Amino acid sequence: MAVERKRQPKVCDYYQNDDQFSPGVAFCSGCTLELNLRFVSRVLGKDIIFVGTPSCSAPVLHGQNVGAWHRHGYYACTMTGVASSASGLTRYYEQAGIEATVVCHTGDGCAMDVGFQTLSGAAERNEKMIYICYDNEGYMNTGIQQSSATPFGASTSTTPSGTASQGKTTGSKNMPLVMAMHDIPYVATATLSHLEDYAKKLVKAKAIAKEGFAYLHVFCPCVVGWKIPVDSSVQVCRDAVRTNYFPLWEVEDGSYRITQPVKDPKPVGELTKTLGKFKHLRDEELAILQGQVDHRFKVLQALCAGTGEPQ
Amino acid sequence: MTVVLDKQRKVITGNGAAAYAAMLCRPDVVAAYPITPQSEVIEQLAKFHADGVLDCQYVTVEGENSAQNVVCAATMAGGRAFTATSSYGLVYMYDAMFQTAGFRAPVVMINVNREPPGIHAVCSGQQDMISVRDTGWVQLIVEDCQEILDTTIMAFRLAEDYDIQLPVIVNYDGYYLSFLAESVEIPGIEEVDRYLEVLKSQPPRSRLVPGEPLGCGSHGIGAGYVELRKKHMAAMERVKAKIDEIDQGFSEAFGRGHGGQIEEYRTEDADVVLVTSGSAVGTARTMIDAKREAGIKVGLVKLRLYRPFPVERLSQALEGKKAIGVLDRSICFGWDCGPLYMETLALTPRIGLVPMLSFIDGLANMDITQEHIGRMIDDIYGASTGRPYQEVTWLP
Amino acid sequence: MVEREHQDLFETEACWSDASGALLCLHTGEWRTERPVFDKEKCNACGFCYIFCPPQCVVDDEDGIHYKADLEYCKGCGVCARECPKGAITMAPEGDYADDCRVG
Repeated sequence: MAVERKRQPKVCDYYQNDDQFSPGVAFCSGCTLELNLRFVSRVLGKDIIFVGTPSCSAPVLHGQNVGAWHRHGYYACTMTGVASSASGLTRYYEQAGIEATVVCHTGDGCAMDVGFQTLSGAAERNEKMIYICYDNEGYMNTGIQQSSATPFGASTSTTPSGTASQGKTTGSKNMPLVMAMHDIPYVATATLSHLEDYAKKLVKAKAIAKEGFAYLHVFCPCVVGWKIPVDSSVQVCRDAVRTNYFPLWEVEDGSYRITQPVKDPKPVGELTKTLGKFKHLRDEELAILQGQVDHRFKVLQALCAGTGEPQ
Repeated sequence: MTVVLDKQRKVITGNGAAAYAAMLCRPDVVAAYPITPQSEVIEQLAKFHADGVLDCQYVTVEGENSAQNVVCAATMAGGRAFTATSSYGLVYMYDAMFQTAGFRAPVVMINVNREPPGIHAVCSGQQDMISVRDTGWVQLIVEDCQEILDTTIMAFRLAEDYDIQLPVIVNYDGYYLSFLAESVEIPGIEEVDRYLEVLKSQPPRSRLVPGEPLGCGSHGIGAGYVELRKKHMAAMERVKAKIDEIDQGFSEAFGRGHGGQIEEYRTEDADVVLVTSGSAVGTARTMIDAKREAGIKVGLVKLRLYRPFPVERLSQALEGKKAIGVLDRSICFGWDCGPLYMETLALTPRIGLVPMLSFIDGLANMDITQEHIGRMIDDIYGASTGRPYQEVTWLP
Repeated sequence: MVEREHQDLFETEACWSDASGALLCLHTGEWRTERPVFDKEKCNACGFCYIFCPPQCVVDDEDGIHYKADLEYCKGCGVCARECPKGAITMAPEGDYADDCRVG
């Protein structure tokens, strides 16, 4: 079927500028983090200042000696200091009357574990910034170790499945909800299969960051750590949404709503069967995981109903 | 509260003096987290802020590690930043301290000396200052409330100097100085503005600004890493002469100085010398005079600069002396002696081998009394006459 | 002893990178073991390959309607082929394009 003209995907309307990153950077083939970073850069615009830390994004976000991999300003600090460093930047810019959007960009290991205290503190102070947590459910750069984002039953290098173990024995923290409980002006979940939904949320976050704290939790599968074919990374995002494993929602000034309602959610097994990190799962573990997914979604529904938008 | 911003003389605590000094230097960002015996510093700054006297971003962080990251980032963005801490808080910011120094961020920080965790203690001791020795910060130690105020102002002048660009800690003994009220001359804010004005005419340092191509915190690879380490070391070396120069400049501007790297008391014709730091210096001076009356030609060196170690000036002061004693308010794990003693011992190639004695006293808020100092001087003098001596003595 | 002339890598005192000149760049095109092949007949120019490509190396084709991969940087992940709603992209082994490596 030959076509006569190009159709511009709607999400392109949100791009502020060309890709600010070098065309050749050290992300794995098929990595959703590469798509995430380039996408965030294009939607939020050239003048943002990234705050990053040792992680999968560090070899690209941070420079090497004098050389840089992108044209954004950035501040690279320890994992314990991301939100606090961002606070120092944003507070000084305010004091000096410098217009700036500070964007923290970290993995789940930083946001949910070792850097959590400082993130919680910055949120409580309603610091003016965007915090993007890309959730690949573990410490990937250091070799696929478990984090508090790793789901129940997942096999990682520190919770490996074996003859005496079925992977991680506890579920993950419900991080976006934890951040929502700080009563900050904006929290949203997003992923890379639903780019227009993500773009809208980034735009909202940027506007809100002029006055307060915006938190985005982005589902970012890791092709290496999750043991999936490299071409399936975006499809995995889509499956996570379709199974309600990772529902797409936002809360703005206390009002919760699901931004991409799923009419007939598939069983979570439809997702886990495609992920090598779950291949050892037996029916009993799968049932527990399903129970956790269901419960989490019920809580979300109750919040939506209770704050004005029943789903 | 009416705050007078003209020059004035007030009876204030050491913590109050620190707060006044920081306020007078007009920091853009202050990070605040409480810890005994420092809390009053940040409380006083909060009051200045709440009353519109201090125009700054006052950030009530949730921990000292965050406090350090806030002030480091604020200076990297181009601002002036200040925080205060002590012991447990100081070591909690340990990872961030390496970053601040490695970034060459001109942060000024008060550390009120208190014993660190391990043997839980809420009391004075210099172990905290010793434990962050190798983070790459400049460290000063002061004797009284006036010196706290003056040295904190000088710390901003030093940290932000284009030739230096290093973070500076001003240490003072918890309890002995933090809560001691003394009569202090507080400069007027315009005097301090004039004193720091020179920094504005220096070349601007690198800053993180939106839309500019500089990125802060690049990985150091190979030769690049080594180059930055050497630059840091070189800057540390330049601190020594710069401190003396700044003290001279302060003296010209405000009518009083404190000696720079070290201050010598009756050392010129002394046969034996006691080296010490902090609030114990006041007690020691009294005893130096008493022992002089008794016929012992003893002198005192007050160590003001701990990092970098004032190698040249201390060597000059100690050269030709017949015996030297060093009073530490902390211990050196691994060498079974006091840490300042150990570093003074390392001057031997420069000053020759003479009896050196280590005295450990004043841990955990135990008073260093005149009687203790007297015994120390007797031991040092005895060693100088050839009497057998004990290398390390723990007092009382 | 001959003094070697030393040229500083950094103009700055600390670890600042400078993006005002050329950016660092890896030849990621050398990573791949397969490459995307675009079938213009099947393609409806929806642009999904363009938006979902992780290195953003899907670029406009010369005809101004369709798309192609920038082979200097394409890592051969196959996300474009997977996401294409029309099945217009297939992944072919790099070995089939050995001729591209010939010099002269």
